[in-house]
Amino acid sequence: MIQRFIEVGEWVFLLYFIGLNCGYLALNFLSLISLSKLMRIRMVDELPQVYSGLTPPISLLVPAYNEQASIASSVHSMLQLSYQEFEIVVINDGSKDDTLKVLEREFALIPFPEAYRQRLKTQPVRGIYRSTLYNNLRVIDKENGGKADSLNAGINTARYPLFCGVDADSILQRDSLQRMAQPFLEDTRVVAAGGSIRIANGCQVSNGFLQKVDLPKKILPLLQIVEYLRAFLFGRMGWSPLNAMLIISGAFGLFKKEAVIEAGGYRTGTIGEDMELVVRIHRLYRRAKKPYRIVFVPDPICWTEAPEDLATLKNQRIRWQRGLLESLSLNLGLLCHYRGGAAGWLAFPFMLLFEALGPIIELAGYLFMFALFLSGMISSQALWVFLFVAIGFGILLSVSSLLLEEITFHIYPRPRHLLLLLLIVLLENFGYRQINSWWRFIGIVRWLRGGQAKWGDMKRSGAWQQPR
Amino acid sequence: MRSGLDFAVNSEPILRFAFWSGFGAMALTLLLIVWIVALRVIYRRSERRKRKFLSIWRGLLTESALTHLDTRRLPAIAGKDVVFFLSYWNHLQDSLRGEARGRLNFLVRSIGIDRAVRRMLREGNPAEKLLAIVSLGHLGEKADTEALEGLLVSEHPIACLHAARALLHIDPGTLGELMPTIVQRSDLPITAIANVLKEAGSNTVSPILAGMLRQAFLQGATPQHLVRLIALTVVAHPSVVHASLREIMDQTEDTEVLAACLKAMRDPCDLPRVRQLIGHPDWRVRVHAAAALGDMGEEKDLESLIRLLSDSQWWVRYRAAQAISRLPFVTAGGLEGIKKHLDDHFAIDMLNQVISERRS
Repeated sequence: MIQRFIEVGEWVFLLYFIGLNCGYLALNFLSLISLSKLMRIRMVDELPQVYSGLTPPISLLVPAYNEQASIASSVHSMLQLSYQEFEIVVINDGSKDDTLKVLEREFALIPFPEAYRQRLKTQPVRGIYRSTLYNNLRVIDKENGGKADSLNAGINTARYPLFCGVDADSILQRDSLQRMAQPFLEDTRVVAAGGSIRIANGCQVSNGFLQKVDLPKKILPLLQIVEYLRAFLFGRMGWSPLNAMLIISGAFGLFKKEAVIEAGGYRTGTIGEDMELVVRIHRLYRRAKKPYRIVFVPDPICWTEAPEDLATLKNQRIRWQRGLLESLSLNLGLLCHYRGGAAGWLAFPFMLLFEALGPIIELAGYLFMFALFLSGMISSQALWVFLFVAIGFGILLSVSSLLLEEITFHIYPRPRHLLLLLLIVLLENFGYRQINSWWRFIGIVRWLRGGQAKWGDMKRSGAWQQPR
Repeated sequence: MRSGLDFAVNSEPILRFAFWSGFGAMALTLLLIVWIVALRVIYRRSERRKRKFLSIWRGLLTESALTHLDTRRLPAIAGKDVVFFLSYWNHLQDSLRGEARGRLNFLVRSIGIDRAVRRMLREGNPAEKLLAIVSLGHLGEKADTEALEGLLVSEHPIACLHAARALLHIDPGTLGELMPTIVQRSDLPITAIANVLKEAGSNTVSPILAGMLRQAFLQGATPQHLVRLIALTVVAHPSVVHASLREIMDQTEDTEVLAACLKAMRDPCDLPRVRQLIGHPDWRVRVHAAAALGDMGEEKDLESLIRLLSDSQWWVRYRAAQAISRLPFVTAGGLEGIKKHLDDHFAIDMLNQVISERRS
């Protein structure tokens, strides 16, 4: 009886690991096709273009909470973006530090008597300011309500039909808005576009723009570079052609304002407000049988600082896991809904089984096999084979994301970059991925226990930034 | 080694399955690593080759734009380098005007690259084909028209757009024939079509667009198609297309078409039409009527605009306030005066906002 139980358990865990990785490999294959198509037209895309003046203007919404150290340089760099017409709305979410004072001083803010229209309910707005130096910069000062609440306040004041939520610490490429707006021009059904996020640690940033790409010296950000490649180059790019992408990173995403307002705006009180909104849009549009597209722009257009210490990284991963579970649980109606399409029938179950519940099964698998080995119920050979499969597939996935990077953007140009990344691809499977699963498991436990969502405390070194 | 192989063949089914799965994954990993390294080697070689090629040809191409070079003394271009040559050559073509373009074309014909371009169009990969389309447009030879016209119905929208652009480079007179084809294609973004038309120039575009507008309306085109056509008036002479827009405006009841017309019209003789629409039940029409009044309104329109300051829609109030502040006869003091006479707080708030914007 016990032997039978062990055998079934072994098969379950083995097939789960193989199923998970084959799912990712399938996504990888889809990404490979989409990226290859994209790269074919890049050469012509880079020739000088003529602009007719029909590009839609964009409102950049920058929620800021205790960002006194970086907010000025972030806004300065955003002001230099190359796009025909855009405005920047910084939303100070009741910061306890001098975020507002820094903005007042740096951009010569004066009170602006805006006829504020509350289309989405938010915490009270204390004041609206405009810059006397830059016509297209406004600042909203409001009571603390979280990132989602800040974005909703930003949407309320946004003047333009498209808005782009940007993290205050994001470094944008100068042409990022042009690239992100492209899908909206090409297809009127597009309601949201997500951008590819890369890690800025180790890079040289000056005047708010990326000057030189390099790899970080520290191991943790290096490990995250490979993770980001996996997450964006096939985690998102694979789902995009199926119109089943469930996540748009809060660090940089472009949305049709009316579509978001119609969906009820960002949900406050959640941690993963960015993902929750996207899953909700899928659910509502699918149910209403309205044509829509949510797309991914793979070009590396937004750079962000990754945590460099374990405590911050742990908090981030716990938060992400909670956000994922919240987003899925709040939109369970999409799961296998008869009108759910690829989002409801493929992406949602995939996320639920492999991303949301994955850490439980993965950890249980490891524990199960080690327990059996320690109690002498399986041989050391069997344990080694189990680890060989789990780690072997992990390495395969990471290497395949590196291949996508090599086929497309060549962000890391030097041979030593490639060698180091190959080394990291191997290393991350020995400990880092397992500890990540443990943190994500904690995230699941905390989600089950409930609790108030807060702005994540992110310790930033900012060592890669040069002063203006 | 022997015991390892025994294990892989003779152990329990689950272990055998696991082992071979892991083995497969590792083998695939090795294959991918080799692929990555090979790609990197190829990429670096190609970059080196490109740098070396351009270090010679950048100067020669720039010089050839200024003067006719003796092509007999130019270095030969290897087949692999044609793409580098054409990329830079097209870049120069897009940046230069007048005789310089002719001299660049002379160079291409003299060294036989034009034949390579035509071969690329026939046999190249999709990227090479696009590059060939752009290059043929710059070369401007009528003999290539037929091959390019075939691409207007291409499945690939980008190939179609570049073919249209190339055809217009060769002969702007073909616009009348190709414009209906590209406008009809709903997979082509209107912005991209407008970009192509802008290059053709408003003198060429305007009469054709005016005719298309009238014809589309008379033939009962869908509102979506009409809105697309009206949006293109941004690249046309207003005086030429306005007659067609008036005809549409006077007869259509579709709010989206009306709003699009209002957005495009800025001729003072259309004031009576705009005034008629200022109280339209649909706010999307009112908002554009308010904006239009801001550009061409007279003193007697001030009262209507002040009424719109109390509209139920925020955008109508905002555009009305902006329109008032834009009227040439309304000074800063005048705005304050208007504000004093308002008793609706929505209207006052909006005017305050626009007064503050005007100060910036």
